[in-house]
Amino acid sequence: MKLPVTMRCQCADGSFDDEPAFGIVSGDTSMVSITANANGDSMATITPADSQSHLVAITGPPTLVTDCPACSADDVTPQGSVPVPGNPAQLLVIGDTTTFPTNCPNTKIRIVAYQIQDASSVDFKINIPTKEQFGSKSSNTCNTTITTSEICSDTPSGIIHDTLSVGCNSVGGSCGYTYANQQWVFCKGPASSILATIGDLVVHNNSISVAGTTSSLKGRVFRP
Amino acid sequence: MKLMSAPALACLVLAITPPPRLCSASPKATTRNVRYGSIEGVVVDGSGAPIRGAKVFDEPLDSVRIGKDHFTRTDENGHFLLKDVPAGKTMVIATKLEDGYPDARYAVYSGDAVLPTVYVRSGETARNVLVKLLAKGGKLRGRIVEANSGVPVPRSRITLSRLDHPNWSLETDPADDGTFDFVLPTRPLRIQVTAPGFKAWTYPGPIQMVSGEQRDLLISLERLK
Repeated sequence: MKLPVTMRCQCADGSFDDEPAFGIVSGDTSMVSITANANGDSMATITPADSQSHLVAITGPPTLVTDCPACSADDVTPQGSVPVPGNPAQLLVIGDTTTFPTNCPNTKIRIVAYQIQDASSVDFKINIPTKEQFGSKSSNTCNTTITTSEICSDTPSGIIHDTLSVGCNSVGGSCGYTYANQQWVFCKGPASSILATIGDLVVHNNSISVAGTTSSLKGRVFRP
Repeated sequence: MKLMSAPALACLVLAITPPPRLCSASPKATTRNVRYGSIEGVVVDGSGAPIRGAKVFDEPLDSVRIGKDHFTRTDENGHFLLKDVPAGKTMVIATKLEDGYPDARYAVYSGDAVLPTVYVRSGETARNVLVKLLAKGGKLRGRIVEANSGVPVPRSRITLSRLDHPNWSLETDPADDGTFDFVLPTRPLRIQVTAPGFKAWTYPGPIQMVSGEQRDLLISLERLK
């Protein structure tokens, strides 16, 4: 995913002025590659190199500031650094909500929010492709058709909101299903890697257990 | 060389920022024996004005989608096209929390609102669906701390529930620093906070927000003796 590079100018009054940057050069093109869009503005593509996080220096061409001298000079050389996380390696639970949906308010729904992190617990704030997979699936005694996220797709801001429910049904009670050994996968080209093994999803009309508990998982880290 | 005209500049740094996500399709879920169609329409507020940047979700009635969120966002005219919707009957729900519209996906917020239900046929697009946001609510911000020390209480849980349907509740966590942030409808709700080893805290009476209001709560939990 390409991200725009912004040139931020701090004014004497403490405010900031942001503009698209241009002509930016990366100090390590293997991790941060810079291209120009149709307007000539710089766009960065971040590629984790290994299990560690890195800072990659980037610089721009001398820029003339017209209204006042900046840093005691008319021309300044923009510079900064880009944090490059290591390969995604684990999931941190940042939220766990249980509620009832508007479309069928007598059926429980649970939303577990996972933040993708590298092995050093640095958050992935960028969009990366992920999918889920299961070891096995039981039949669903609520008789609802279930759609899952087993094909690679975007994960905006590196946060997975995993919604679990049996859906609207006429069976009620404790009908449900068990999807065993849920895993989240980082889709890295043809070679995917396991981000985290969550465990069993035991999803009933009136109770939802994830990784063996119906209680909040907030703060828990799941690894491959 | 590029000229910059911002006044009184002091220095320059570079930063990389993610682009705004407008009209971005959400992940396509996989399917087993499920066929898909699309929904096209407009999101408006209570006055009928189109709303830009609202999230639009399909909430199927004939099936269930588990896993990642599935949504799109409206464009500057309030228009949306939501793809990969399982064929069948589905409710269409719009939210815009950042502008104070409560999340209509959950019964605790949606109240008695009538939300559009459409029938989606495989390979076809259900068109001209008008989706109204809920009426603007109020923002409730708060912090949960231990009464004596003022530090955040670990493993605390917040429960919101309706007066007319107490079972239609929402139970969630505060952030690590004990803070929370809700967009509540203007209907009265109950709010309770619990934590292991602490006395439960309940807001005295129902909490009822005024549209556009912002309210702050400091919740001090006392340890059980």
